[in-house]
Amino acid sequence: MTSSTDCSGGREPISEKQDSLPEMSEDPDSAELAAFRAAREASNLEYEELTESFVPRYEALADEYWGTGAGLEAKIWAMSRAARPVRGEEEEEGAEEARAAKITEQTDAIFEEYGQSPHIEQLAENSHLLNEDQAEHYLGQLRESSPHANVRAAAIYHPASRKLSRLRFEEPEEGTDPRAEIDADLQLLIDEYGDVPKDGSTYGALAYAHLTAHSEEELAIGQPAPDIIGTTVDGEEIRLSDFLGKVTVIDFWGDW
Amino acid sequence: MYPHERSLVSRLAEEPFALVGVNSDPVEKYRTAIEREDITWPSFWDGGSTDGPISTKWAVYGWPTIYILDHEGVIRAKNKREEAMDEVVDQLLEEMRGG
Repeated sequence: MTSSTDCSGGREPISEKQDSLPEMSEDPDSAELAAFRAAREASNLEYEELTESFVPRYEALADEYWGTGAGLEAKIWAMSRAARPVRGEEEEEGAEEARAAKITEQTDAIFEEYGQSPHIEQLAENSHLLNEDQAEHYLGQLRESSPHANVRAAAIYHPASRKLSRLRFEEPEEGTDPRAEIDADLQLLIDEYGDVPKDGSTYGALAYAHLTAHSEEELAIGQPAPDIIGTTVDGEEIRLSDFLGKVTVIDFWGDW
Repeated sequence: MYPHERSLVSRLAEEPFALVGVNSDPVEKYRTAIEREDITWPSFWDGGSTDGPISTKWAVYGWPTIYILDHEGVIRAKNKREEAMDEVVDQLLEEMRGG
């Protein structure tokens, strides 16, 4: 395994191993995997029901594709079901501990197989499955010792992002200043992982967006809307200020 | 939401009005939606996920989230949908004409 300690923020190759993996959607055997995803997306209302019946199938797919990115994806889906209580059912005593123990066991297995793999970025992305202690333990490990910049960046970014969204809705504990630590992590992402890709963006751009996010006051009725500078899906630059002079509806949307 | 937006955009085609999206879909999904739903209005593409930089900067945690701006770019309403959106937009156009 080639190891990289490159922290220059340059775009580290996300490993040849990953590039050579079968892309699930192109793999005939994985049509089922794609169908699961479609079914899950198609019906949030029946999510519980869907995941219930799919967990054993996710598990089977994880076994079959273990060692590839798709195998880890399937494993994480299965875990996501196990990570929370069944809706509407009374919890037995110790159920939460039992769930946490199961997550620990499964995460250990993931680390054994994927600890040095770039795919384990997926675990950082889904760190809401881990409780606070688990997140600190596992993501801390990735952050310190993964050879892959995408994994280290994810292990820094996702906990910071999660803490920030919590701060939007909850007051911090008295006498603590969680913002200072979060901001230091965001700055670290900008400085050292600026160009590492994340979906269609980069960890640097996302960290910067968090650091400079508009406050509730700035986005209040009666305030001038801050400009948005971005691109269309075809890469053409557009700005919100292009539409000055027109009554404008901004619609944050997705096709789901 | 698409039918309403389509009719709003076509009804106000000759007016000083714009509907501007900030889209959180992966590229392929977005392109499919544009075609299928005959979406003619522009959108910022936010990197393919709800974690995108624009949504992050605007602290958007729910979709859809809507802001309505007057012609001077001042935020005048939030999260008004369907008829309520029409009402605000018409009122702002009226206000603009009335000077």
